[in-house]
Amino acid sequence: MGPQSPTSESLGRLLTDLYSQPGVCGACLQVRDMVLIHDLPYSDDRIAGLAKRIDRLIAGYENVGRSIWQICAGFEKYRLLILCRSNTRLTILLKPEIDPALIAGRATRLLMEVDIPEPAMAQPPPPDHPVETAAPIAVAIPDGVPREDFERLVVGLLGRVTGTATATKLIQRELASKNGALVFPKEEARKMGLAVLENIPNRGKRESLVSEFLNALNS
Amino acid sequence: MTVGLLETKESVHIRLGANREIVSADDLVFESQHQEESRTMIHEFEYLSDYLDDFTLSLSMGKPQFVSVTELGRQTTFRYEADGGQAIVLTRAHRGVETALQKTSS
Repeated sequence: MGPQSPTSESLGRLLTDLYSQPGVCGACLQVRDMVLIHDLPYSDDRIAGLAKRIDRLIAGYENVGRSIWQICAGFEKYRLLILCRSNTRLTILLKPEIDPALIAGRATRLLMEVDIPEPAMAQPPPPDHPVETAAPIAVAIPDGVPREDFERLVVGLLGRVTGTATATKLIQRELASKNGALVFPKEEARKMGLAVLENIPNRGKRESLVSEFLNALNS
Repeated sequence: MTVGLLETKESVHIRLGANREIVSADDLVFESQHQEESRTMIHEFEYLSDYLDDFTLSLSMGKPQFVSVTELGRQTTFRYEADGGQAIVLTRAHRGVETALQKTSS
Protein backbone atom coordinates (compact mmCIF):
# COMPACT_ATOMS: atom_id res chain seq x y z
CA MET A 1 0.00 0.00 0.00
CA GLY A 2 1.38 3.42 -0.93
CA PRO A 3 1.36 6.55 1.23
CA GLN A 4 -2.09 7.90 2.02
CA SER A 5 -3.26 11.28 3.21
CA PRO A 6 -4.06 11.13 6.88
CA THR A 7 -7.67 11.14 7.92
CA SER A 8 -8.99 10.49 11.39
CA GLU A 9 -10.11 7.13 10.09
CA SER A 10 -6.73 6.10 8.65
CA LEU A 11 -4.87 7.35 11.70
CA GLY A 12 -7.31 5.53 13.93
CA ARG A 13 -6.74 2.33 11.95
CA LEU A 14 -3.01 2.74 12.41
CA LEU A 15 -3.30 2.94 16.16
CA THR A 16 -5.92 0.17 16.34
CA ASP A 17 -3.63 -2.13 14.42
CA LEU A 18 -0.79 -1.39 16.83
CA TYR A 19 -3.03 -1.73 19.85
CA SER A 20 -3.99 -5.21 18.72
CA GLN A 21 -0.39 -6.36 19.09
CA PRO A 22 0.35 -8.24 22.30
CA GLY A 23 2.02 -6.05 24.90
CA VAL A 24 1.05 -2.72 23.34
CA CYS A 25 -0.69 -0.46 25.87
CA GLY A 26 -1.29 2.49 23.56
CA ALA A 27 0.30 4.85 21.08
CA CYS A 28 0.51 8.52 20.19
CA LEU A 29 1.13 10.01 16.77
CA GLN A 30 2.40 13.57 16.57
CA VAL A 31 3.81 16.01 14.02
CA ARG A 32 6.45 18.12 15.72
CA ASP A 33 4.79 18.88 19.08
CA MET A 34 1.20 18.60 17.82
CA VAL A 35 -0.73 15.45 18.73
CA LEU A 36 -2.69 14.04 15.77
CA ILE A 37 -4.22 11.12 17.57
CA HIS A 38 -3.54 8.98 20.64
CA ASP A 39 -5.03 6.11 22.58
CA LEU A 40 -2.67 6.20 25.53
CA PRO A 41 -4.26 5.76 28.96
CA TYR A 42 -3.62 9.37 30.03
CA SER A 43 -5.56 12.61 29.77
CA ASP A 44 -5.26 14.72 26.61
CA ASP A 45 -3.51 17.45 28.61
CA ARG A 46 -0.90 15.05 29.86
CA ILE A 47 -0.36 13.66 26.35
CA ALA A 48 0.00 17.21 24.98
CA GLY A 49 2.77 17.78 27.53
CA LEU A 50 4.38 14.46 26.63
CA ALA A 51 4.31 15.34 22.91
CA LYS A 52 6.07 18.65 23.62
CA ARG A 53 8.77 16.93 25.66
CA ILE A 54 9.30 14.24 23.04
CA ASP A 55 9.59 16.83 20.30
CA ARG A 56 12.08 18.79 22.38
CA LEU A 57 14.08 15.64 23.06
CA ILE A 58 14.32 14.83 19.35
CA ALA A 59 14.98 18.48 18.43
CA GLY A 60 17.97 18.44 20.77
CA TYR A 61 19.54 15.82 18.50
CA GLU A 62 18.43 17.45 15.27
CA ASN A 63 19.94 20.76 16.38
CA VAL A 64 23.36 19.15 16.33
CA GLY A 65 22.83 17.40 13.03
CA ARG A 66 21.85 13.96 14.34
CA SER A 67 18.81 12.41 12.71
CA ILE A 68 17.30 9.92 15.15
CA TRP A 69 15.38 6.88 13.92
CA GLN A 70 14.31 5.35 17.18
CA ILE A 71 14.56 5.82 20.92
CA CYS A 72 13.58 3.01 23.26
CA ALA A 73 13.41 3.88 26.95
CA GLY A 74 12.95 1.10 29.51
CA PHE A 75 11.39 1.70 32.91
CA GLU A 76 10.36 -0.61 35.75
CA LYS A 77 6.72 -0.74 34.63
CA TYR A 78 6.72 0.05 30.91
CA ARG A 79 8.83 0.70 27.87
CA LEU A 80 8.45 3.75 25.71
CA LEU A 81 9.30 3.26 22.06
CA ILE A 82 9.61 6.45 20.01
CA LEU A 83 9.92 6.17 16.23
CA CYS A 84 10.82 9.18 14.11
CA ARG A 85 10.23 9.83 10.45
CA SER A 86 10.85 13.38 9.26
CA ASN A 87 8.69 15.60 11.51
CA THR A 88 6.47 12.74 12.62
CA ARG A 89 6.95 10.86 15.88
CA LEU A 90 5.09 7.69 16.86
CA THR A 91 5.32 6.87 20.56
CA ILE A 92 4.24 3.43 21.74
CA LEU A 93 3.79 2.33 25.34
CA LEU A 94 4.80 -1.31 25.82
CA LYS A 95 4.78 -3.86 28.59
CA PRO A 96 8.34 -4.61 29.68
CA GLU A 97 8.27 -8.28 28.70
CA ILE A 98 7.74 -7.44 25.01
CA ASP A 99 10.74 -7.20 22.70
CA PRO A 100 10.53 -3.64 21.26
CA ALA A 101 12.11 -4.85 18.01
CA LEU A 102 8.97 -6.86 17.21
CA ILE A 103 6.72 -3.83 17.59
CA ALA A 104 9.19 -1.41 16.01
CA GLY A 105 9.16 -3.32 12.73
CA ARG A 106 5.39 -3.23 12.45
CA ALA A 107 5.11 0.35 13.67
CA THR A 108 7.70 1.56 11.18
CA ARG A 109 5.81 -0.06 8.33
CA LEU A 110 2.59 1.56 9.44
CA LEU A 111 4.29 4.91 9.83
CA MET A 112 5.58 4.65 6.27
CA GLU A 113 2.05 4.06 4.97
CA VAL A 114 0.75 7.37 6.23
CA ASP A 115 2.09 10.44 4.48
CA ILE A 116 1.66 13.28 6.92
CA PRO A 117 2.07 16.79 5.48
CA GLU A 118 3.88 19.52 7.35
CA PRO A 119 1.29 21.57 9.27
CA ALA A 120 0.70 24.99 7.80
CA MET A 121 1.81 26.70 10.99
CA ALA A 122 5.15 24.94 11.14
CA GLN A 123 8.21 27.08 10.53
CA PRO A 124 10.65 25.96 7.84
CA PRO A 125 13.89 24.59 9.27
CA PRO A 126 16.82 27.02 9.40
CA PRO A 127 19.33 26.78 6.55
CA ASP A 128 22.21 24.33 7.04
CA HIS A 129 24.72 26.94 6.00
CA PRO A 130 24.93 30.68 6.55
CA VAL A 131 23.42 32.77 3.77
CA GLU A 132 26.12 34.05 1.43
CA THR A 133 26.53 37.79 1.85
CA ALA A 134 29.09 40.47 1.25
CA ALA A 135 32.17 40.42 3.46
CA PRO A 136 31.22 41.33 6.99
CA ILE A 137 32.22 44.74 8.23
CA ALA A 138 32.72 45.52 11.88
CA VAL A 139 30.45 48.40 12.79
CA ALA A 140 30.84 50.26 16.03
CA ILE A 141 27.55 49.82 17.87
CA PRO A 142 27.06 51.53 21.21
CA ASP A 143 26.83 48.83 23.82
CA GLY A 144 27.72 46.22 21.19
CA VAL A 145 28.99 42.72 21.93
CA PRO A 146 31.80 41.43 19.68
CA ARG A 147 30.87 38.12 18.05
CA GLU A 148 34.08 36.50 19.26
CA ASP A 149 33.38 37.43 22.90
CA PHE A 150 29.79 36.27 22.57
CA GLU A 151 30.81 32.88 21.18
CA ARG A 152 33.48 32.40 23.83
CA LEU A 153 31.04 33.22 26.62
CA VAL A 154 28.23 30.96 25.42
CA VAL A 155 30.49 28.03 24.43
CA GLY A 156 32.09 28.26 27.88
CA LEU A 157 28.73 28.09 29.63
CA LEU A 158 27.12 25.48 27.39
CA GLY A 159 30.31 23.41 27.40
CA ARG A 160 29.73 22.68 31.09
CA VAL A 161 26.69 20.57 30.29
CA THR A 162 27.47 19.33 26.81
CA GLY A 163 30.51 18.61 24.65
CA THR A 164 32.39 21.61 23.24
CA ALA A 165 31.69 20.43 19.69
CA THR A 166 27.97 20.26 20.42
CA ALA A 167 28.02 23.68 22.07
CA THR A 168 29.84 25.20 19.11
CA LYS A 169 27.39 23.63 16.68
CA LEU A 170 24.39 25.01 18.55
CA ILE A 171 25.86 28.50 18.54
CA GLN A 172 26.82 28.36 14.86
CA ARG A 173 23.26 27.32 14.09
CA GLU A 174 21.92 30.32 15.99
CA LEU A 175 24.40 32.67 14.32
CA ALA A 176 23.75 31.30 10.82
CA SER A 177 21.14 33.93 10.07
CA LYS A 178 23.24 36.86 11.29
CA ASN A 179 24.97 37.41 7.94
CA GLY A 180 28.44 37.28 9.42
CA ALA A 181 28.02 40.34 11.64
CA LEU A 182 31.06 40.86 13.85
CA VAL A 183 29.31 42.89 16.53
CA PHE A 184 25.82 42.40 17.96
CA PRO A 185 23.67 44.93 19.80
CA LYS A 186 23.46 43.85 23.42
CA GLU A 187 19.74 43.09 23.21
CA GLU A 188 20.27 40.87 20.19
CA ALA A 189 23.15 39.08 21.92
CA ARG A 190 20.90 38.56 24.94
CA LYS A 191 18.15 37.00 22.81
CA MET A 192 20.58 34.76 20.92
CA GLY A 193 22.29 33.59 24.08
CA LEU A 194 19.00 32.75 25.74
CA ALA A 195 17.88 30.84 22.62
CA VAL A 196 21.04 28.73 22.68
CA LEU A 197 20.87 28.06 26.42
CA GLU A 198 17.24 27.01 26.00
CA ASN A 199 18.63 23.72 24.64
CA ILE A 200 19.68 22.70 28.16
CA PRO A 201 16.91 20.30 29.23
CA ASN A 202 17.47 20.46 33.00
CA ARG A 203 15.62 23.50 34.32
CA GLY A 204 17.89 24.07 37.32
CA LYS A 205 21.09 23.97 35.30
CA ARG A 206 19.50 26.09 32.57
CA GLU A 207 18.40 28.80 34.98
CA SER A 208 21.80 28.85 36.66
CA LEU A 209 23.66 29.22 33.36
CA VAL A 210 21.17 31.81 32.06
CA SER A 211 21.74 33.85 35.20
CA GLU A 212 25.51 33.63 34.74
CA PHE A 213 25.15 34.57 31.07
CA LEU A 214 23.06 37.67 31.83
CA ASN A 215 25.48 38.76 34.55
CA ALA A 216 28.44 38.41 32.19
CA LEU A 217 26.59 40.26 29.43
CA ASN A 218 25.75 43.17 31.71
CA SER A 219 29.16 43.45 33.34
CA MET B 1 27.94 12.49 13.35
CA THR B 2 31.43 11.33 12.43
CA VAL B 3 32.37 7.68 12.55
CA GLY B 4 34.89 8.49 15.28
CA LEU B 5 34.97 5.80 17.94
CA LEU B 6 33.37 3.26 15.63
CA GLU B 7 35.92 3.74 12.86
CA THR B 8 37.98 0.75 13.92
CA LYS B 9 35.73 -1.13 16.35
CA GLU B 10 32.33 -2.74 16.08
CA SER B 11 31.39 -1.66 19.60
CA VAL B 12 32.72 0.54 22.38
CA HIS B 13 31.98 0.20 26.11
CA ILE B 14 32.16 2.71 28.93
CA ARG B 15 31.24 1.99 32.53
CA LEU B 16 30.50 4.98 34.75
CA GLY B 17 30.34 5.41 38.51
CA ALA B 18 27.51 7.03 40.43
CA ASN B 19 28.91 10.50 39.67
CA ARG B 20 29.36 9.69 35.98
CA GLU B 21 33.10 9.29 36.31
CA ILE B 22 34.62 6.65 34.04
CA VAL B 23 35.19 3.46 36.01
CA SER B 24 36.32 1.39 33.06
CA ALA B 25 36.26 1.71 29.30
CA ASP B 26 37.78 0.38 26.13
CA ASP B 27 41.28 1.81 25.54
CA LEU B 28 40.04 3.71 22.51
CA VAL B 29 37.97 6.01 24.72
CA PHE B 30 41.12 7.46 26.30
CA GLU B 31 42.87 8.27 23.03
CA SER B 32 43.12 12.03 22.54
CA GLN B 33 41.22 12.12 19.24
CA HIS B 34 38.23 10.36 20.80
CA GLN B 35 37.98 12.16 24.13
CA GLU B 36 35.58 14.81 22.88
CA GLU B 37 33.21 12.19 21.45
CA SER B 38 33.42 10.14 24.65
CA ARG B 39 32.69 13.20 26.75
CA THR B 40 29.73 14.02 24.51
CA MET B 41 28.28 10.55 25.12
CA ILE B 42 28.51 11.06 28.86
CA HIS B 43 26.76 14.42 28.49
CA GLU B 44 24.20 12.72 26.25
CA PHE B 45 23.48 10.32 29.10
CA GLU B 46 22.80 13.30 31.34
CA TYR B 47 20.61 14.91 28.66
CA LEU B 48 18.53 11.75 28.28
CA SER B 49 18.34 11.14 32.02
CA ASP B 50 16.60 14.49 32.51
CA TYR B 51 13.90 13.43 30.06
CA LEU B 52 13.62 9.92 31.50
CA ASP B 53 13.14 11.36 34.99
CA ASP B 54 10.44 13.57 33.53
CA PHE B 55 8.65 10.59 31.91
CA THR B 56 8.93 8.67 35.18
CA LEU B 57 7.05 11.43 36.98
CA SER B 58 4.53 12.46 34.35
CA LEU B 59 3.57 8.94 33.19
CA SER B 60 4.18 6.94 36.39
CA MET B 61 6.57 4.60 34.60
CA GLY B 62 8.76 3.55 37.51
CA LYS B 63 12.51 4.03 37.65
CA PRO B 64 14.42 4.28 34.37
CA GLN B 65 16.43 1.17 33.47
CA PHE B 66 17.90 1.93 30.07
CA VAL B 67 17.53 4.06 26.97
CA SER B 68 18.70 3.17 23.51
CA VAL B 69 19.13 5.71 20.70
CA THR B 70 19.31 4.48 17.10
CA GLU B 71 20.47 6.65 14.23
CA LEU B 72 22.24 6.20 10.90
CA GLY B 73 25.19 3.88 11.39
CA ARG B 74 25.15 3.76 15.18
CA GLN B 75 23.19 2.76 18.21
CA THR B 76 23.97 4.04 21.69
CA THR B 77 22.53 2.24 24.69
CA PHE B 78 22.68 3.77 28.16
CA ARG B 79 21.97 1.48 31.08
CA TYR B 80 21.30 2.22 34.73
CA GLU B 81 23.08 -0.34 36.91
CA ALA B 82 21.57 -1.66 40.15
CA ASP B 83 24.49 -0.26 42.19
CA GLY B 84 23.87 3.29 40.95
CA GLY B 85 26.53 3.06 38.27
CA GLN B 86 25.82 3.46 34.60
CA ALA B 87 27.06 1.89 31.40
CA ILE B 88 27.22 2.99 27.78
CA VAL B 89 27.59 0.70 24.79
CA LEU B 90 28.02 2.15 21.35
CA THR B 91 27.60 -0.14 18.36
CA ARG B 92 27.77 0.31 14.61
CA ALA B 93 24.56 -1.42 13.77
CA HIS B 94 21.13 -1.67 15.29
CA ARG B 95 21.31 -4.85 17.35
CA GLY B 96 18.00 -4.78 19.13
CA VAL B 97 17.72 -3.46 22.64
CA GLU B 98 17.94 -6.89 24.30
CA THR B 99 21.27 -7.67 22.62
CA ALA B 100 22.71 -4.26 23.47
CA LEU B 101 21.68 -4.64 27.10
CA GLN B 102 23.35 -8.04 27.33
CA LYS B 103 26.50 -6.40 26.04
CA THR B 104 26.47 -3.72 28.73
CA SER B 105 25.99 -6.19 31.54
CA SER B 106 28.93 -8.39 30.53
